[in-house]
Amino acid sequence: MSTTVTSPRYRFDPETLKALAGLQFRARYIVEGFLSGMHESPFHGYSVEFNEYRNYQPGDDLRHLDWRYYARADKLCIKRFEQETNLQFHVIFDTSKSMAYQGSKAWCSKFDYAKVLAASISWLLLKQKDATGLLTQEADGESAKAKAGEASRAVRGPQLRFLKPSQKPSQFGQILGQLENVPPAGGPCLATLLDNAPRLIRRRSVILLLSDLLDPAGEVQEQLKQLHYLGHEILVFQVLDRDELEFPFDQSNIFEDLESGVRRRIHPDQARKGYLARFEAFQEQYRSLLRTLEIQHLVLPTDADPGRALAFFLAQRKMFI
Amino acid sequence: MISFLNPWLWLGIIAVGAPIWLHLRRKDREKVVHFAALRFLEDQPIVKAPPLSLKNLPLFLLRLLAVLLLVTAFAQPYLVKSGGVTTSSIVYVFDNTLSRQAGKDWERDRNYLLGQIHQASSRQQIAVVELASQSRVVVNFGDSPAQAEERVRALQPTSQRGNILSALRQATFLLKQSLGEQKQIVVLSDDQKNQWEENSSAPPFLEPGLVTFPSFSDVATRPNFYVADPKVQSVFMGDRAFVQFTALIGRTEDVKSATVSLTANGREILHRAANLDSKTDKISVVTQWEIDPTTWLQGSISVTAQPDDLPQDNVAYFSVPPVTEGKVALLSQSLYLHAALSSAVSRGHWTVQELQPAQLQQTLDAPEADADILMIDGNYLQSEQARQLVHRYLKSGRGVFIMVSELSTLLTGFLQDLSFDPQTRLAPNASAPLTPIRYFSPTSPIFKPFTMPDFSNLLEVRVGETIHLAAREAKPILFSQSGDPLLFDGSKEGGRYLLSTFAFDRRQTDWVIHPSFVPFLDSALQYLRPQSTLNAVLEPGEVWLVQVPVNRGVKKVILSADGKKVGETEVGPDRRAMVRTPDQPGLYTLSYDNDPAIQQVVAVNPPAKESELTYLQAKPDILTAWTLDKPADPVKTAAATQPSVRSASENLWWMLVLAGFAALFLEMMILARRGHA
Repeated sequence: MSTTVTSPRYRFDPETLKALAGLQFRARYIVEGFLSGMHESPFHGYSVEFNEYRNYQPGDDLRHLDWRYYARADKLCIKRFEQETNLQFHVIFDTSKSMAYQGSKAWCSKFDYAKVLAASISWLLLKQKDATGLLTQEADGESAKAKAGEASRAVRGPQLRFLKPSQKPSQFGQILGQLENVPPAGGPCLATLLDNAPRLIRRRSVILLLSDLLDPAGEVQEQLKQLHYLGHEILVFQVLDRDELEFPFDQSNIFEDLESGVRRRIHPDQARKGYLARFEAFQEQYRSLLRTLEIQHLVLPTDADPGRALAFFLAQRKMFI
Repeated sequence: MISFLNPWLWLGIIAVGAPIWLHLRRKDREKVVHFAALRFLEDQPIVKAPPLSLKNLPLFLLRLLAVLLLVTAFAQPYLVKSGGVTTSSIVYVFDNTLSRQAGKDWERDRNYLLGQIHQASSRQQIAVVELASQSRVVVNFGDSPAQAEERVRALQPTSQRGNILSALRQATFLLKQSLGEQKQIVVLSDDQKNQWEENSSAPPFLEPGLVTFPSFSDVATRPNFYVADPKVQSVFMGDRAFVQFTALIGRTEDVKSATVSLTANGREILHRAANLDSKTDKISVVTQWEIDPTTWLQGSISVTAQPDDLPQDNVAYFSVPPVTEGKVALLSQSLYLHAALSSAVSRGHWTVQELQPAQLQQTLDAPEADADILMIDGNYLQSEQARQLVHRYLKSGRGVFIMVSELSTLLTGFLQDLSFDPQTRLAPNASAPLTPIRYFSPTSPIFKPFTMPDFSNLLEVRVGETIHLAAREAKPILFSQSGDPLLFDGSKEGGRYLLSTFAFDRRQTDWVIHPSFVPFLDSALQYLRPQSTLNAVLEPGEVWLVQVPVNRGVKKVILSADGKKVGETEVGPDRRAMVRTPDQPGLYTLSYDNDPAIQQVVAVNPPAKESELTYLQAKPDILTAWTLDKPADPVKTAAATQPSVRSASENLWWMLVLAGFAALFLEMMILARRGHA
């Protein structure tokens, strides 16, 4: 079974994506567009039936016996893949105010881009019957709507919304609802999300972190380490705007921080060099940290093709199996 | 000091919050970039929020000024004399009629008035109403003392008659709009008795105690000899013209004798002494003389007597217009009418335009050829064109003489339009015997000459059976033996008409062969001739209506005295002009446009009532009838429309409003300019 992921042949059209109303339609556009460009199904080999067995050996846990198979074949077998391949996927979504930034070249804000990504990946996973959950934080807990579903519950501490992983068909709607109802607001929340993740994610899971990673690396270092040591596989999708990557501004203006409200008078000609240097150093800190923790990291500019993220994800997933 | 009529409108000052907010709000002029990665620009300077400060100070001040000006304007400021609240408002009614020229009261009262104006404090308001032929406000409450003094000094004695009721009403109206807490009307008059005996039935309108008299005449009467009410009437006896003249001569006090002089066209007609006994206060002067009927008669009658405190009423003027050849349009079968109006008989008096029944339409199509009078047999009125012609003559102010001998359906309808009610439809009995005329109206101008004994005897005229008509509007002036009206005098649609109930032919009357026929015809036609509505004798200051003739295209009428122009008036589209007589009695000529020809001579005479110099010694009783039982509801001066505000502060209001809008306009221009920049 070849699981080679080839580059998608569909042409990413940000205007079409922008014109699509609704997160679901955008997610399906990306996924199906991505999939239609592949000549081999990536799902080949990822059968839902997981029908690999091994013979019962004395001492195996009788809870894992496939009693139906025994009834049919009068043979004792233990279901292996069902147990060993049943991973849960958790999407941890950064909802800080900095995610609301939209540059002049982007078709949407970082937050919208990340939402589309999260929805696309969730749809892809749920289509494969993989249990998928969602963890977000709201700056104002009262703004959370019941549309997030009964599966979503308010957790003590910062207003976290945790959607337990499930592979039910209705899970996608729940995920979409939670994504739609959470606005980008408040200060840095990545540390809080990662701080609570070990408590909420009990089983070994795949954690998909969608964030701009503009919080200092030192603030999340310990949390990432803990998650890593707990055996979770972590994928980081860093969503950044082209303006943040290149600082293309050319006019003097007052710049106001989205989260802190601090204002600075910026002369781009004078500030660009220093900005890029510091930004690169900051990125290097994260790269170093993630490399150390063997966490896969993908930087996604908001003007880039979201299919690239899917390709990366699928390539990494193969490694999880 | 400025006060406000609507002080509560100052709540509008809240509107100044608008420009204050506009200029204080933190509206960033610079573009602010909301950036997520500002942490990497820590070396750049932090911009602190500036303290609240007014931006664009000049624009802010301009907007503030506009709001303040408009709010102030709507609060309606008015100027109050320095010194505080106005305590009193006084209206002086200054009697400026002819009788005031007797004695020295006029000059005394004017000086008194000037003194009152001069020493009035800032808390007093003074107004002056002049009592003359038309009461007028000489000084208003809002006028400055200097203006008031100037206008009072400019007053001149007049020869007019005034209505005291009108002056008091005017004064009351002024006081209702005054600011003073105490209000008063002071009458400066000679308190002529007959002046306070008019309009006794007027409803009450004065506040109790409002009217005061500083003083009354110290004498009950003054000696005066006067002439009044001259009347002239031209009378024709054959080819000769005479004028009958009457006038009234009166006196107050014990003036024993006077000398009367009558002159006409420069010729002394009469000059003699008139003796009045103690029981007679008025006598009539009656005389007549022959005149040239082709020229204007202008004359005067004067009296001289001693003592005479009012010599201004010793002369009365009169005038008589010349007689000119008239034009008669004749549509009749009567040979006698044709003969009487022929050139051989009526040369110099009348020319005849004989109308043809078959050419009436042509006559209708040429209105410019209409004569002065239309004489028409009633039979012809069965023609629609003839009826139209009659109506056209009447509408254009011309005269019509209708001779009706028989009735018909169409004629009955026509007569009913003239407000006649035919009493019978039967034709008169042509063979009925002729009977003498029983009665003619001696006061009618047509028959007045026949009252003279040496004039032809009308009662010899005989008339047969006639149609019977009852008139609802016309006046019968000639009656048959049986009492039936034979001749009616009426007016319709602006023109005069005479209607006879018989035809001028031998079958119905022998008048046509009587010596009085031609004089009667001439007198009747003279009476029907269209004339100006001007009454030749007027009083000073009187306004009268001048009707100019048709087809003359007159644009203005000129009034002159002794060849000098004293006034002119525009003629309206209805060929009428409202002319005001000069104040000075005398003879004035009326002419049209640049034509020097005299169209009318007007005699302006002093009003006779002003000559009765009998005075009140106490407050007139009529004031009681004009005074309210209880004071009327007080008018809040703050809410009333006040002439002082209107005159002194309306300008202020307009200035404030205009200044406010000017400020807004300037603000708009500044913004527009900045927008372009």
